[in-house]
Amino acid sequence: MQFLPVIGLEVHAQIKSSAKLFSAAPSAISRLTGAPNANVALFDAAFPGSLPTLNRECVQLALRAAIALDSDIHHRSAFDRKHYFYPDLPHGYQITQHFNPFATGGYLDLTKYDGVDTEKRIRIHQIQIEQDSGKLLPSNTSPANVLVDLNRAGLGVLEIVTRPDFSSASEVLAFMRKSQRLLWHIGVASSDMDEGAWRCDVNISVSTKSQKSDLWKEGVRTELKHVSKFNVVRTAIEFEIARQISILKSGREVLQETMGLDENGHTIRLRGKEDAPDYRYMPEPDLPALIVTDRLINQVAKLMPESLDARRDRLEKDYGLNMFSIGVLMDEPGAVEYYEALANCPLSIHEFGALIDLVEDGKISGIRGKDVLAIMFESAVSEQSDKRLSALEIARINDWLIENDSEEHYLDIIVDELLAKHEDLVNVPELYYYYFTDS
Amino acid sequence: MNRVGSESVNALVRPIDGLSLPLAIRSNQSSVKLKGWKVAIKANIATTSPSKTLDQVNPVTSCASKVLSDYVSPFQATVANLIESNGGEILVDKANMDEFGMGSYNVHSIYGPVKNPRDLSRVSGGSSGGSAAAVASGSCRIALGTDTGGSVRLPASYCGVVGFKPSYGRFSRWGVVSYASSLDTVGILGKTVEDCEKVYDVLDWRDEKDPTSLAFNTFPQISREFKNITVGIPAHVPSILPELTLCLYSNMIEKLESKGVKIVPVTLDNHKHALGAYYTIASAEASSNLARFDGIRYGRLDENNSGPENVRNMFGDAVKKRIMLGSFVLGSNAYSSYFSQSQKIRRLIQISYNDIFKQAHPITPSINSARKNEKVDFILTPASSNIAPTLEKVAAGELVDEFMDDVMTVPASLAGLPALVVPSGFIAGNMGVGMQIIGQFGDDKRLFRIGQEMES
Repeated sequence: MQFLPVIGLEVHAQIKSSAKLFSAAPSAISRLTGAPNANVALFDAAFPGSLPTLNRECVQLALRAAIALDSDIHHRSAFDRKHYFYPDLPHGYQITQHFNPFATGGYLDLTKYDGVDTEKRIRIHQIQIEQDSGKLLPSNTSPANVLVDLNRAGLGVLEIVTRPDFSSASEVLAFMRKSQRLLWHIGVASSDMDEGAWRCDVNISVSTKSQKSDLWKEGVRTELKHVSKFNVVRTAIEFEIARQISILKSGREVLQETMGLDENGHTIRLRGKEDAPDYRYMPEPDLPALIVTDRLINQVAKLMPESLDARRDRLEKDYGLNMFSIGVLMDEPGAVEYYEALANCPLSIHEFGALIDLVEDGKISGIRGKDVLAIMFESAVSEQSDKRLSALEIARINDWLIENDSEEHYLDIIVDELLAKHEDLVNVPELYYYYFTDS
Repeated sequence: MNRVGSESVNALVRPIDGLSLPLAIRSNQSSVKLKGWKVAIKANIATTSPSKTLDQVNPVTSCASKVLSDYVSPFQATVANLIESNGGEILVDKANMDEFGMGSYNVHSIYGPVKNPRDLSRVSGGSSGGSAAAVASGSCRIALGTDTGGSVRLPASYCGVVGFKPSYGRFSRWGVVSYASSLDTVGILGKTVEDCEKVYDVLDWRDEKDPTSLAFNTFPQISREFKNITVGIPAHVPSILPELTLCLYSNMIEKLESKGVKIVPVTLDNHKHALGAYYTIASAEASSNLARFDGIRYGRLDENNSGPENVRNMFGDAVKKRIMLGSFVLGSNAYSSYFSQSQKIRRLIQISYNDIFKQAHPITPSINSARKNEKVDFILTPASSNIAPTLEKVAAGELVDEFMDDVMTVPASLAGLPALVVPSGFIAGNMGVGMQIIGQFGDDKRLFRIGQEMES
């Protein structure tokens, strides 16, 4: 008997917009400093008579994601209500896109640079825009009570549903890393994994093939809810695959269940198929259909940054960087931009190095060093290379070099003498002391 | 709970005993369209106290429900703001109603039933019974109600006042507690067509806080001209009317004819399915809209039992019925055979109106309009098939189906069409029924012109 894990992913990424999806309350980007229930508009708390207003910024960001994933953007999508009762869900329903999602199709390619052995195209099933829920907190004063914080309630979330194209935890992790990197790269989601800004549901089944047959037989899938940490995801998926294989080996059947995690990161049963909630989906009557024109799609497409794969190739080709360095740069928001700004600086490394040496050797002061740099930079931009002066020449022309009889030197002597005289009074850190006396 | 105004009618309700009737005076002095008009607002439309500094009562937005019996809204509805900014004086007391707008006789209220000012043994009609009765009894010049399937038009018919339901999306729903969002409209009740039109001009306003509020001025304008008017008489209507109502109906037809209006018969398809579709959609949306009343933010927990079950138990029977029906039709096993079908019927009904109106629907015009029917400007029907029933009969459950009185009003709600109800004379004593004139979507303004012809 052969076993083949079949895994699909639902990625939920908070949209990095300035306001919530359907209200003017600030989105909880500043939630780390904000007090509970500080970012709550009337609609977020489901006040009777309040109504949602769709935030255009969220739609534009969702468009970016759909374009980046080469997804088919629907000119007309609509919002629906998904009903369930829970204290962190003020309306008793979540506004999502069930019947007519924002976009369908698309893909993300995993390459050897993304940490998989063989290249693999992960197909996107659909992309939808939905609301986040609030959060429940334990009460310090009364353990029997639960506190509700609605700062997160109503934040925009992008749900990206993949096809069941993964066959290992490594592939899932590679996808999570790459899609997360992609979403912050295009400005759609935050780069931090904290506070549930990034959550995944994982659907896992194991297909089987007997030696006699050429056909794979699909397995029953379980759903693992709400995981976000990479290492937890790996442990959980590998555990769940092993669990299902051992069940299949023993001749029993895998049950269609929703799984949670225990303290070891191992999957445990939360509920079975028979207790699956009926969400009673209904078209959201308070919101008209969302119409996206070609004009808007083109506008957004024009403002898209280069794709991750194109960027990686360019860093390799233009700067001769190795894959490790590229990976380090691309894992840090803003690092590639910073690197390129440096790399494209008109001053050569050698010119700049000479200046550093001057300052380090005490030939000029740090403040004068900055003046020299400004002049070097100006001349590098405007002058021919053969007319450019070195850092030393600039310092000499401007009489910034520290000579023995220069004013700066007298100051140093005075400072040294004072320090020596009052050694008992000033507790100077050794580094500073060294700096003053060395020249 | 103290009952004020015409006390025996029970039209207006207030939160605290023993206080005089303060008026909200926040009007902009330069706007005089409604200067000095006293306005009663239905208890499902949010109003706030005019001044925080004075020791005044806060108006409750209770929806006549135990769940919201002491709920004071922190914000005011757009329609109330518009009334105030145009000089209207909003009563702190709110108009009694059927709980959350669910009912046709205004007997489902924590404040007790609203009696008909014309005959105290009879009901006022619902769900905006308090609004209609407050106008009829002279407690205010005009009143705002809400109309989801006839909740302004039926009480207008029963109480002998003018009632107006706008095109869906014409008046803002911001601050109006939702019953069935896709059907809910704010309506006007007044003594005369002219009064209602003045309030209409004030409330006709695109509100960015309500995503279903439409910018009608961006649509192709329906001709403002008022000549060569044709009014259609739906073929199925006369046959279901009692003789006396039929008599009033005929009188109105003759009156319009005598004023040069052309009368033609029209056929409206699928209207026999309207009630079923309406109750399916309205109940589904109600079950969703009322899910927020789970006891965590609204409603109180009993001292004996805690838990949301008890909060949900505070709803009256009419509300519970709709929540259960709505939850059922949205279930994954029932959705396609009930909810989805009803949405289709709703669209077919809208198309059947498109087929007979001269004017094209500004948003969803019908493509194939090969009907032989002569096209009309308006449709005329009675607003109710009979006069208001007695409270006794209603309480005894002798009226088999409360829903039957919605037959006249529900189709226009499903299609989102504007409708105006004008009193048309008496059948028994001083009880009568109103006549309803329905226009194409967006054709609200011309309804007042023909309404004045009907009135005079």
